[in-house]
Amino acid sequence: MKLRAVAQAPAENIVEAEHVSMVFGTGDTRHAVFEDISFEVRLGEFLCIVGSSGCGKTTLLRQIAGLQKPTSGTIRFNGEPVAKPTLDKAIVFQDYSKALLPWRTVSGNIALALEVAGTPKDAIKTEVNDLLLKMGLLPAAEKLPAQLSGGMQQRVQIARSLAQRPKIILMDEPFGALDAITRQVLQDELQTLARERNMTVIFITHDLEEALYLGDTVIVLASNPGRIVKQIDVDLARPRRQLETRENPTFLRLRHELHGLIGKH
Amino acid sequence: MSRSWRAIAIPAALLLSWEIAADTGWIDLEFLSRPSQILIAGITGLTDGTFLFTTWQTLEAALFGLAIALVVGVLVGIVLGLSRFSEMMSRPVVESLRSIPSIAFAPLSLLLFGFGLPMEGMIVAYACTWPILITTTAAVRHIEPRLIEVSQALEMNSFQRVTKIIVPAVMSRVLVGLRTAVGFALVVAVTVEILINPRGLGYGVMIAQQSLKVDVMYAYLVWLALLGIAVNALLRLADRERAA
Repeated sequence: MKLRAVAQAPAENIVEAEHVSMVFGTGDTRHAVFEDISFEVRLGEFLCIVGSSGCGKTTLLRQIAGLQKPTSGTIRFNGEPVAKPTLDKAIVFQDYSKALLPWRTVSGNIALALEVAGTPKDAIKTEVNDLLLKMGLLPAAEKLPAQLSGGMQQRVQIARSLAQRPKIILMDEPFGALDAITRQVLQDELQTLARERNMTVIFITHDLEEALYLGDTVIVLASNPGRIVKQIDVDLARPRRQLETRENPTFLRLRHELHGLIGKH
Repeated sequence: MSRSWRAIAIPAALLLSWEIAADTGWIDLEFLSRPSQILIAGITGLTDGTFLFTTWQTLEAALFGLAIALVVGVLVGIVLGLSRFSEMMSRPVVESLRSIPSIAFAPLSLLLFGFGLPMEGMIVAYACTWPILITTTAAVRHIEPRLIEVSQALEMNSFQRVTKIIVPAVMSRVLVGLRTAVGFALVVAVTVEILINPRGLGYGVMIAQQSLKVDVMYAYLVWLALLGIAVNALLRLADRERAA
């Protein structure tokens, strides 16, 4: 568990969302994807946002990334309103096969962010090698994404996002398309990475157990329109373990408590 | 083995009956020559260097035109693919220009550039730009939107977006357009030479015909066929290389 100050200075919040809404049309044709969403993310926090499909969680993440704009409300990153995507906000998309450059090798994909930033060739090589090693991708370094399993491809995308040296990593259901076993392996790898590097993560998922397993904080969104129905701190010791943590009474209690909220409209 | 035997059976039979028909005087040698003479003419053409020299002239013009077409087609294609507005604005121009047969520009090109490589190359370029431009435009349209988002997320500037994402993403489709263009290039180059430009294989065919060297003319045609087969084989090889 992390120690938390009771009253936090605004500087510690890396992301602040204030009354963020995504509403189309007016009157009879009015459609709200989500409404009046406010939350903060502290530096070093692992925040999971969980909700069923249609609650606008992906849209919300894209707005934090700067890929989309809310129709009202503000999202601040590092104290500044988010205007566009920047290198210090890394995004990991769910559809790894579309998000990786299919003509580039694993190394080439990881190097992309560094090339764009104008990093010298030698430094790129060292950095890419470190990340390959870190993510267990060394044997696949010269393979193309299509030659890899889904889990490996998603590792490449995570490595690419780490190469950006971001202040925050925004993950949009990154393990949603993976099989259960691979998902658990990657959950633990991500957990370890986040601890080692003191990463700040916003992690979107529709899997409540995954949210509880990974998050310091879990925000539950309900659908139609999307809104925050609950925000809880997950008081579970780290490192969390697939069996023990999931059988922990606190884990089970939180799971029961939140389960009903997700389906509720 | 038996397969290749079957493949050459019919051509061999045809050639043999042609030779026999020539021997027996059933056909007029002034127009039709005979396989043995054509073979001799071909060997002569190859050994004295005229075939290779004229082939080089034709290929030179074809490559020159293709290079221009590739640059223009890819650049304009990317612009039109990225901007719906520019594509809409230029569609009538593109549609009307590309329906003009490239050979119709031969007289104009002659006026502008005189005889020689540039006038021929420009006509080849005109013909070859369209397939490349159109496939490039379509390919840019079909780029995975996620990749564009990745380029935004990584704060790429426009130049980096084009070189690191767009060009490699459209490459395989552009090569399909280029394939079509290569076929056009040879046909257009030879046609221009036959029609107006005194150089290359097309001119060789013309001169042979006009000086009543029918066997040389046929030898040129055989040589052109072999050249076409070779170019196609090269393209297939490149395709396989790419697929591997």
